[in-house]
Amino acid sequence: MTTPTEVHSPPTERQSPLATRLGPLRLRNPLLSASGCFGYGEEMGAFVDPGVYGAIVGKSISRLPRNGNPIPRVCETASGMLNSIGLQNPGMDAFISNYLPRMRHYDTVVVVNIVGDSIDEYVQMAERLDREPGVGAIELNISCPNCAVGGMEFGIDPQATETLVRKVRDCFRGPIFAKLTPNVTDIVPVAKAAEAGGADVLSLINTFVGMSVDWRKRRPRLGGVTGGLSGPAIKPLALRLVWLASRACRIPIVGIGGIMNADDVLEFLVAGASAVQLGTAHFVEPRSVPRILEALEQAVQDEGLDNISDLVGTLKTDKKPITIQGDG
Amino acid sequence: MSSSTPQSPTPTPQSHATRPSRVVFNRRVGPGWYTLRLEEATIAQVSRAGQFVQVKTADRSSFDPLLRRPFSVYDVDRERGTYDLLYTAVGRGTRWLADIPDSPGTMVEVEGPFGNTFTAPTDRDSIYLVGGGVGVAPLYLFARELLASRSALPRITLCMGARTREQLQGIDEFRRLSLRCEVATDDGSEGFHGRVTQLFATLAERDREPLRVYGCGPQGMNESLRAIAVERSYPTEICVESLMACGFGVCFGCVLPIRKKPGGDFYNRRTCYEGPVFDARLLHPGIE
Ligand SMILES: Cc1cc2nc3c(=O)[nH]c(=O)nc-3n(C[C@H](O)[C@H](O)[C@H](O)COP(=O)(O)OP(=O)(O)OC[C@H]3O[C@@H](n4cnc5c(N)ncnc54)[C@H](O)[C@@H]3O)c2cc1C
Ligand SMILES: Cc1cc2nc3c(=O)[nH]c(=O)nc-3n(C[C@H](O)[C@H](O)[C@H](O)COP(=O)(O)O)c2cc1C
Ligand code: FES
Repeated sequence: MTTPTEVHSPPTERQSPLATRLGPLRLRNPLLSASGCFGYGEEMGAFVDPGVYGAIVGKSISRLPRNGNPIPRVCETASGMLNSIGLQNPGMDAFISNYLPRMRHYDTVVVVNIVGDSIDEYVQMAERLDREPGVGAIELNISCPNCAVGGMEFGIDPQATETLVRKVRDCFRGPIFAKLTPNVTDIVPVAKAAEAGGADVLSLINTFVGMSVDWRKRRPRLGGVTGGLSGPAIKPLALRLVWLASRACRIPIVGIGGIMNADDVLEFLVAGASAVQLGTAHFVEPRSVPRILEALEQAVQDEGLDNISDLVGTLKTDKKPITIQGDG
Repeated sequence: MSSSTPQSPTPTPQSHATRPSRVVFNRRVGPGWYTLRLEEATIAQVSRAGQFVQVKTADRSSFDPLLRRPFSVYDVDRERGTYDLLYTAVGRGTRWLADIPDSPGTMVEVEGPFGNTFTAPTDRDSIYLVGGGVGVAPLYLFARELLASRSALPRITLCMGARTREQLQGIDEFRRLSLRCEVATDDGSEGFHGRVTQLFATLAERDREPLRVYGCGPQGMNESLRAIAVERSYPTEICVESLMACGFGVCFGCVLPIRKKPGGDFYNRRTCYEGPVFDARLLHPGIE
């Protein structure tokens, strides 16, 4: 068994302007892959070395294999896409024997994203992963809009979220990311609950539930009827939620939602995220991350900063708005 | 059982394009359809029949439309480093392509090639290519590969279907190759009056040689070809179509219920990665 420090120390270039601290983790840079958009690294290897990422997050793993949702599973929307994949995955056993061994060799932090139908399932999976070398952190998907019995129930209820995170905290020694859903009236109570339960990092956000209709056929465009919206279309919504949560919580936030280029990354950092994940961007431009890293280094230099994290949470909002008379 | 299963080439960084492709021409070749010739050495070198590319159908910095569009590789000139796509303008992305000037120079972002390929027949086989619509694109490259690689001229029959004679896409190019061309039109305006799969079934029945069949067309055509192939035990490979997000195996958006071996269970397998070419016996009946 490895000690937590061994497991959780990523390779970091000292002095690197992009080196990032994410709670207990030290990352090479603030760019992570988002769950479900990077597989388990193998296929993406044709385009990029996973080692260029600050960390990689694998597709959600459930205790038992899942076949996923009916087809069609994807549908394009204005500057975005809907997906109804339904968490198709090989299950924990196959993940550990067939995928994790390869992932261990990636020169980066490996974050294993897990999803369960009950607190027990999350706990069982976390216990199992605690014993596995090479697991840099776990991310709890309590936010998937595509599963009938799945994680979403936890993610909309602060009490359930806190209980779940605490139970997992009791059995997993490494860093825990709690990935939250935006499909709530107010994200702050859920974010605070995850923090209270012992999460080290908040991943914000999963997809927005939505749908698309083919009116000629009088049918939904997705086999699962509804799906999760991702891509540039959701960036303004995601930014706001990151900003709200970062003001309410002390633990660091990973911003997610529609990030396509370096400006998008920097917007999230200024709004309060310590790092970001890229999902849909990989489909459009599989080499986005190395390209964005170059642009980020340039931006840090142009701004005269020592380190990119100097930008985190630097958003200036007017404390005293100008009030004007009138009925407008 | 035929020995061949379509193989997925293991992708490596060397087997994918890393540069944008340069337009050589973008020619309207029929009502609503076009041939786009692009220059990019890697894609031209490594693409094999059945594989496809993912084309960004928006300006470089635009994300609307967001997703890339998949197109089969239609032809390659490995020496000149060019490759062709045959496409129909049906929606936003393909109309964007159609608006590219028919003159050299425009740069287009293309990733690929992706997916697996048709497997080679034996020298004795009587080869049937059954295609409809833009599905003829991978069959054309396959015919060219077969004609170039064989010392003895292979016996190839193309069965091409369309609604009307005007919609027989790429038929002139096929007619320039050394193969038998048979066409079917729904309205009888040229060739056999009826479905291309009916035409194929009739021709195949009369053939005395062992058959090898390769098909690509709209879902309805693919399904009838699958049914004929399974019923008559013709060794058949079908290039299927599905909605895709990534095109290279990470999103699981493009899955279809497909067996791993004949008679086995169905799994949700990725058409972009394990496919798009599958042995007909592996496909699920009735998907149209
Ligand atoms: C492996 C493969 C090979 C293909 N080869 C060719 C080819 O050689 N020539 C050709 O003309 N077409 C080909 N197609 C179909 C082509 O991808 C679609 O016609 C094209 O994506 C339509 O885009 P659009 O924006 O014009 O249409 P829209 O209807 O506006 O597209 C909306 C969304 O649906 C998707 N979509 C629409 N129709 C199809 C379809 N038939 N198949 C898959 N996705 C679709 C689009 O990619 C896009 O994401 C192929 C499809 C696949 C999967
Ligand atoms: C095809 C697809 C599959 C996804 N699968 C998962 C998943 O298995 N688990 C998860 O936590 N999030 C999943 N997500 C959500 C993403 O990780 C991310 O939170 C979301 O897409 C927003 O980021 P983006 O706009 O950069 O894509 C998926 C998203 C997409 C588009
Ligand atoms: S299109 Fe993404 S896995 Fe096939």
